[in-house]
Amino acid sequence: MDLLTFALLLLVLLCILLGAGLWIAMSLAAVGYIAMVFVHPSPGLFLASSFWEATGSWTLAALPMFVWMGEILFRTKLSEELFNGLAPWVRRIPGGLLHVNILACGIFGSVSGSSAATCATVSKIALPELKRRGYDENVAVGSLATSGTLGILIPPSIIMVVYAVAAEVSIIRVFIAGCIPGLLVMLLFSAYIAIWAMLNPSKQPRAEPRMSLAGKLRASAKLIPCAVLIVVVIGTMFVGWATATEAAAFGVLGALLMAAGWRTGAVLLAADLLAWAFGVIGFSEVWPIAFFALLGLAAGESVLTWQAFLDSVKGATRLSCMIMFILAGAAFLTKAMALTGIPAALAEGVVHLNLGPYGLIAILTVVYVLLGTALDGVSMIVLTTSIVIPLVQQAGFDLVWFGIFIVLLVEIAEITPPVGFNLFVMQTMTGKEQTEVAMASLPFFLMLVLTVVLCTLFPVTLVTGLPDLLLSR
Amino acid sequence: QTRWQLASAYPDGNFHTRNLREFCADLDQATGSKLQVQLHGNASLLPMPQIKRGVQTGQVQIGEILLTAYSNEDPFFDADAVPFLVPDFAGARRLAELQRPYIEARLARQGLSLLYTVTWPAAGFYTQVPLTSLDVLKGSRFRTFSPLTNRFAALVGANPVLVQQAELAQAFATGIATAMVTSAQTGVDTSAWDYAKVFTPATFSMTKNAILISRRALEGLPADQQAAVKAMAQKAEDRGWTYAAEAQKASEARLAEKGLTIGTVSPAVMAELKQIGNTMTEEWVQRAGEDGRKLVDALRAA
Amino acid sequence: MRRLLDVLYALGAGLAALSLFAIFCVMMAQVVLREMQLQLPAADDVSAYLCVSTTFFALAATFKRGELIRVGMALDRLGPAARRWAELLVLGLAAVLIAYVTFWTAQDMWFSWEIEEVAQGTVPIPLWIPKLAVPLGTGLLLIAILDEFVTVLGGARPGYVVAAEERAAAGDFSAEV
Ligand code: NA
Ligand code: NA
Repeated sequence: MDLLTFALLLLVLLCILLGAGLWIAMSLAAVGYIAMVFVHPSPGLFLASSFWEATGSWTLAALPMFVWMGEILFRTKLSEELFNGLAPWVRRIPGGLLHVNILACGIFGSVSGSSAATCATVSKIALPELKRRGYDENVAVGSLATSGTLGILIPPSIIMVVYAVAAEVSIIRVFIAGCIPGLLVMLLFSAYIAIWAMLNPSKQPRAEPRMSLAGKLRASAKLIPCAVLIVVVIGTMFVGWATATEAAAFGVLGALLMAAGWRTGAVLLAADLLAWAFGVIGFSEVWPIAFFALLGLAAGESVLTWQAFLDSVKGATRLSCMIMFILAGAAFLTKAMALTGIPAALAEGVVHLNLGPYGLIAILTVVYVLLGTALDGVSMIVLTTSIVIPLVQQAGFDLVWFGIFIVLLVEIAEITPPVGFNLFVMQTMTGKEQTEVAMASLPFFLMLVLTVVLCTLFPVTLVTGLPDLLLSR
Repeated sequence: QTRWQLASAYPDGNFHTRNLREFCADLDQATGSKLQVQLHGNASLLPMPQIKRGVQTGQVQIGEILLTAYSNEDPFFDADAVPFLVPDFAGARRLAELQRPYIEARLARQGLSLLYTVTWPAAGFYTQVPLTSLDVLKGSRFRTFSPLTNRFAALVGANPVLVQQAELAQAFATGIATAMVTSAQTGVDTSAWDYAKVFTPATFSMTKNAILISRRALEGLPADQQAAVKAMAQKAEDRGWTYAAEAQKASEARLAEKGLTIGTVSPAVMAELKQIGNTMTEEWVQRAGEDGRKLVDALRAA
Repeated sequence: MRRLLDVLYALGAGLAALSLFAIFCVMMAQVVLREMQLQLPAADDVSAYLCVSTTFFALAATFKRGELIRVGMALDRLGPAARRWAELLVLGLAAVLIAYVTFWTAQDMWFSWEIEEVAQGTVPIPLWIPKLAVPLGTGLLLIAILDEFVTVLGGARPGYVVAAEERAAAGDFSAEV
């Protein structure tokens, strides 16, 4: 049996197991076992090592932290405030509050490094609000599932770190290169929503009344705690307090203070000022703590009961458990694939086709979209870089550019069935079936493909120009 | 026909991996394709900390490790990481020869054999200002990653900080770390020009990668193939050391080309560093015992 | 028996939640100590291990609450009798698989103990200790799967389906994640 047939059979088996209702992490592990039985005497050894390795990683520790931050924020009044704060500015645009999904994911993506965490956090806030206000559920779900992937395109990004390490390029360069494509994706998503809204007037909720500028500003004042939180998370990184991973813990601390309300904030501020007055801390150390105090002060009434705190920890634990268990299953399947040599065979097949640069990128796009149906992003990158990177370099593409290309394809993989993390998250959020969520995401999927095309046609303007400018090559 | 798996954690472009690829090709040729070794680089099959145990359990037959990463297991794996113990490539090669019997004895107890070792280019200091005196390091936030680098930071009066390789750029850009010690090669791998200003090659240490093989797998081969494996390993070792020397020159040139200042160490500073090195050598000997003393004496006698 | 099992699952969930909270504490401690020119030894290794115990200790509770994700399209279309057989089939399959996982992860932990494997970072932490969470967690998941198998065999609907439906009926999809 040749490798391609074998690969096809494995894919069929995966579809059968998933279709039968076997839990996803277990289906992945089962297919991994079947694949490995043919090439290694004891698959169990790899099973154990990949379960350990996939879940035990320092960078991964940011994931439960960002998930927990989202859980706490969900229990604050942030859901209303994010809407009341952003709503006045987009309500007159066709599509109305649906644009808030895109904006909120973009904003949250700039503090989170994970697509699933962004998707879960923003959906948690946005879904019930949109439903309550009568927005079309399909577009709401599709836009949330897809713009959640901004979490890995807008820095910081776990996927970019994995790529930069595997391809030996500068992490900061790849981070900066993601900024413009991130904005472009947001723009395209919003454009789609606006056009869809104009074409489907019957599916729009009643337009909300006009507001004065003063009214808008007053409503947006409620965004201050959220803005401060973002400043805190990004700020702790920029002033050198924390690494990207630790910044996630600062996010949790900030969220806790927001939930703890103005009294805690006032106490903290008083303690901070007293400590300064008595010379315990210097002037420069007053500010960071004052910032955290402001979070509490601006947030208003406390919502953080002991019960709410416990619920947030438990909820974050279960969501993290679900995600990381799938990572474990996927890691085992990935090892099995590496041993069978299927990914390498696929990539080598591409070499023999002798395509031009654009042809190569077109084929790679197809291959990655196919791989992305069944594999997670990290696996996609780790499995293929060794074969693909030399090809891409030979064809004259910049490796930083290729990093953004591959991140965009990982974003696509997040929303293609049967294995797509954002689909899983939205399934849990909405109780909808995976096919429904995937169909709802289809238009946005096409926007991502369009972004890939644009980035390929204008590599310097959209991708490599900004890092070159800021880091003056 | 025998089919083996080889696990390595280093990227494909790295000279260690290039050497491994050629080793696999050599084996294929020497055994008339009767022994085929499939290389899994880039930690795609096993991540770094799992490779040695992976060879022990039989997950893979051959694996590449960074010897000093196993310093917690045995001080002899750590000998090449002791600062300023060897001054140059020749010294490093001599240390490798002296270290070899001890390492082989320890690995043998774990069912492993040593195929070959290849050095990394010499580690030097990455700083934001030229290393004109040790005061530059004193009070700096010094990136450490092992007990030995921690100890060095303590002796030089620096504050040790723990930063993952992936987070180096951000840590330097924001001042979490202000100095570190690693090879020019790693500097190139992590685009050090984005975050550090000066590279000072001081031959801090010359750590080695070791290629391990499962003894059971090796002894399961026919005699002629076993001989081929050993011969090709010897060839790979010689080739690898040449590659390392080339990589040192090439990576320093690359750092300079990308705008890093390549600094020099004044004799006075070097003397101070050697002093710290001597202290740490003595401490290492304390840990390694009688054999450790013998190794250091033999190295210094040569 | 019922009570004992529920206590076991809750215990697992509690340990997992504690691990998650500990990740937060380790990260904050590291930041604060760094500002004081000190270092938290092995902070990176410890938070990685805590990630492992968060994942595996929470498995059984997450499974029982129907929060481990699966594709339920086909199952939802089946009649009650056929559905029961189908659930028994996947539960049986899951039990075999997780038993296999438990066996091999226990072996892995045992091997780490035998060869006295230690962490490679600044503190030589014996690896069998953090690895203990994996077989314990999957073992607990195995118990939970068998528990559900018996429930379905007895004619009742699986607990994870009921739990998920109850949340759905309460309109409470988001709060549960
Ligand atoms: Na991000
Ligand atoms: Na997918």
